[in-house]
Amino acid sequence: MNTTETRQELVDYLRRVRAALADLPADELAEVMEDVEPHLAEVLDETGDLTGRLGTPEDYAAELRAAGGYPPPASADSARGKSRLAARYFVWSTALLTFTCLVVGGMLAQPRHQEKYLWLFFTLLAAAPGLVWVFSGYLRRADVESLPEYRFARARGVAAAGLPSPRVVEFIRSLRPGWWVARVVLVLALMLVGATEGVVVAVVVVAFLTWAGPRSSTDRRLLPLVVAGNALLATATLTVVLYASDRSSQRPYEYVSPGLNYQGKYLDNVYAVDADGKPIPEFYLYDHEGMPLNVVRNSCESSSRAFDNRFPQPQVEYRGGQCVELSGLPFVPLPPNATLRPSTTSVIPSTSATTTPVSPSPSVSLSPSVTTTPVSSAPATTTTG
Amino acid sequence: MDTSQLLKGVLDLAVLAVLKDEDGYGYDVLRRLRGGGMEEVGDASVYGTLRRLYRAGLLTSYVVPSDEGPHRKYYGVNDAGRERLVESERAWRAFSEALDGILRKGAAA
Repeated sequence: MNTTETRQELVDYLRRVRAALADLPADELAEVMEDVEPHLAEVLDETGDLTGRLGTPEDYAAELRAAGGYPPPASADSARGKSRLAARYFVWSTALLTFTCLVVGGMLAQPRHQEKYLWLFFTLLAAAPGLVWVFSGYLRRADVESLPEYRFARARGVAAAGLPSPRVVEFIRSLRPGWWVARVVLVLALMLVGATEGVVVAVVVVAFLTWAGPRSSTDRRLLPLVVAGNALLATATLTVVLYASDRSSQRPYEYVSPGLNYQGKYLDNVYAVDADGKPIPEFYLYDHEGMPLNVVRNSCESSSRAFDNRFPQPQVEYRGGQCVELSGLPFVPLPPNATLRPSTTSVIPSTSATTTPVSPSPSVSLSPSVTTTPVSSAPATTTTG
Repeated sequence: MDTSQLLKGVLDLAVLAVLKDEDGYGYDVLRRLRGGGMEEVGDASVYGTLRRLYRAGLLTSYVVPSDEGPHRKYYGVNDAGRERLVESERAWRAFSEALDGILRKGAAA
């Protein structure tokens, strides 16, 4: 007798019997196969021909079904097919929920991407029918466990869980009471980060897990939700930790808008004139510590981003597609001590206007552009002074 | 004639009877039935009957590991099974006597 060949015959026969009885509850089917397997092995050893003695696997299954008082397959099949579909929907929708929780958890600390809560809501909505079926008893545990994808995932899960040594697993188990402390810390951290919606979501999930976590060990129906909740908290914790370490290491380089500011307003340029109102063509700015007030140099060469503290910066303009650098003042300053002199112009600046450059006349302007310059037209200010 | 229809009705009783004194796994039960003269009993029918009696709470079962080949699941009759066996035996004897009588009368007529 060729052993490999007969083993193959046995395996095939068993597979077909199992398929023909697939609508039986999984536990009962397992019991039946526990009887059938040694039986077939023994028959094969004695006769070497299963089909000759027992008929086709389908006949064998039908006889066993009739004698065993199991329901006929025809009606059971459609119900089975329906619950199989439902079980499949349940497994995939909860898997999607867990995946979404992983992603959203990772984004919980960011106030941006508000649409992530929408994703969470919709996947929760999508998983809802499956959960209702499970909790109403329409979907039984055996239905879910008989799915090939469930078996595959479970086998992988068991293999992965078997990887760390038992001592590591034991250690993680012993930390379990501390988990709720970690959860509280996470919520506080999210508050500090300022992710308000994230705090709300985390609080809801923590509250749910506190309730459902201990129950899930006896009520397996809660397990997918507990897994999803923990997935969310896990990635949220991870990102908050990364965020915190990132922040602390990058604080010295915190981004500040470059350039000069005066009373909260960004300065495009700075100009200086001497006591006579004559523009100083080139000067250098320092702060009280002697640090140069370097800013990006305006330049037509957009690739060069040179920093220096030389002022006034050239004005960069585009004329007919050509970039031109212009020097000089875009306005005509009033001499700072102009009020002490008899003025020959028609403009008498107000006291408040003494610090404001006023252009009495455009005739001496060096400016190629006056659009950004405060310009006072003469007659309006004659009442003061 | 095909005796399998006749066998079906009495298989419960027969299975309980062959397990009464000694536990056995499926193939033991099959051998005892065949050895007792029920040659035509179907293999799968015996296994189906064992499962049905077990689910009805008349049998106990336990697995015995085997060094070679698959483990064997043994079945034994529990108290409920023994009770059922006594009842069924009584019913069978009454039925069998009645049928004997009918058959004899039919033969005499």
